[in-house]
Amino acid sequence: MTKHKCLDLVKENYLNVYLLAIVPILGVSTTLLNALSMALILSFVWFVSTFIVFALSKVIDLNSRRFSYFLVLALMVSVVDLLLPLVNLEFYQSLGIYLPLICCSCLIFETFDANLEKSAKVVLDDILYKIVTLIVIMAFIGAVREFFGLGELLGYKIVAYGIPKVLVLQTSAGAFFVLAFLAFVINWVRGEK
Amino acid sequence: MKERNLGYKTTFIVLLSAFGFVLLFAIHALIDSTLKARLAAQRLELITSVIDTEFDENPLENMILINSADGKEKLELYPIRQNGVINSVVIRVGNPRGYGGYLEILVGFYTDGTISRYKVITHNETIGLGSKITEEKFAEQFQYANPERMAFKVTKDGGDLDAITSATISSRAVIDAIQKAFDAYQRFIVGE
Amino acid sequence: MEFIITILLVNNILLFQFLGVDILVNRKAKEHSPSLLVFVALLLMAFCSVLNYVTYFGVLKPHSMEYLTIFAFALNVVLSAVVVRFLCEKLFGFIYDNFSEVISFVSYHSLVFGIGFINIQEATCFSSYLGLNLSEVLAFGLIAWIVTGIGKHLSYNQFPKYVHPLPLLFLVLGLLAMAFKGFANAFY
Repeated sequence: MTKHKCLDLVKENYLNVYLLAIVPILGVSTTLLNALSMALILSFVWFVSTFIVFALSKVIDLNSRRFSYFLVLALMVSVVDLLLPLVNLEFYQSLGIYLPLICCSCLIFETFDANLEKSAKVVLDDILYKIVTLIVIMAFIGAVREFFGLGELLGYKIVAYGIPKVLVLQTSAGAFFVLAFLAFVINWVRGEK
Repeated sequence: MKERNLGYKTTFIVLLSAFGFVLLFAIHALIDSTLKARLAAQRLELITSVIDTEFDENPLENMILINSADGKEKLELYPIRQNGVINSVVIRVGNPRGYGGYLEILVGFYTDGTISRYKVITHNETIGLGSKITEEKFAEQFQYANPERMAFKVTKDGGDLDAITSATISSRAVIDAIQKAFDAYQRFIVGE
Repeated sequence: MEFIITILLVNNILLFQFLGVDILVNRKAKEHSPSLLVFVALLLMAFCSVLNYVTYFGVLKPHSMEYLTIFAFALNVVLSAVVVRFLCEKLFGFIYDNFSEVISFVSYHSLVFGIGFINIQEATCFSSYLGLNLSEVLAFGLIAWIVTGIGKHLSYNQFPKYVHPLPLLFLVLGLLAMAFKGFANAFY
């Protein structure tokens, strides 16, 4: 996690790409805990499937590679879908449609493509950096939606008398507004550099 | 990674999917019994959370399907038995007319038709407004209420029940669902 | 009537379930017109619905193997992408030459897979499943057309530089989501 790499997020308009990964799982970003758990699940699937694709890259055909990516991702998501209820049944049931949607994350496809011809160490470095960024972004969205929408964080009221609740942040419109804010800030920082 | 011919591609995709199916099948075979036990325990906990009578038979095994009053739906009914005598009944009922779409609740009845409690299983109501249907403040006015002996509507429609402030549609949806369960329950009592 | 309004306005798939937002966010979407995207999505969805219905109600459910649904549906999306690409190149190849690109673009986003997955639980018969799926793709198309149109008009206005293009897109989507929530009152 070098300093140079962290600046990449701002420099190369990565946000555009990150949103592709976040959008399918936005529905579970209403609280910080949910957003973090979902980001962790997505990261796990991403991490494992990246190395599966990396290992298979010799035998995958170039033209139909996206089919193979899709299938590998779907396989990993299915495995998580089978094992997650054993870990936390209530959380699994609250996910609903959003867990299967992980396998349509375009960001994952793009990293697969980007990591094809590299060495394992570079791939590991790259994927870890991207996962951390994803978790930070998801945590930010979840924290904003929970703190300003419900007036608490991780279920605790951290401001003594509470703050006025902006309930719209808890609806899907609120998710779009937080994303707009995030995109604006990153555009702004990028423009100033 | 290089380009291959059609036969290679097809074989690869087929092999990959076959491997996937076998892997998933194996994992499922390993965890199936644990998962089923977990799910059954969760359902039992949900069902017993809406009643406070004792039971000695598993309500899940006694589950029967009954027609709703309009005959369009099948509702799940769980008789709660002790020493072979039914002392209360739990009915699972859904209503598509919530503010955010479908909501599903479990309603518990004593044998005289009095509601013991209800519990929302799934809902899609607006958080902070309609989602208050899950909270005690709204739910407690249904406890020991009998839909037959009172005007079972919100005060806005001339009834005796207080709606949630600025969530009348969600309140109505819950009340309609309970009414539907009550009608089905009466058919069940008559049928016995 | 109520069915169509519910699908298109009250429970819009894009505004309230976030399916297909990734298509709008993707930079490549600007290269294609929304009508073309919707047309391709409709074709894909039609094929995918047939395959999904047959696999789910023909194979998976009778043998209680629902845990294979995700993997099987992903396979179905891939298969229908292959079939639709083949058909389009034969039938419409003389109109557009980038059909195969659009098809792979649409099939790897959450739209087709997600809609097929959501509705399979509620489907009572094949026609209801197909109808639900296709009208939800149209619901996506409605928002895609609105957003593209608004975006074109807004690009002539003097906004601060950093608002373009993504923040503006999300702002419009958020406002639309709030506005469309009002349709929920239409039937009460």
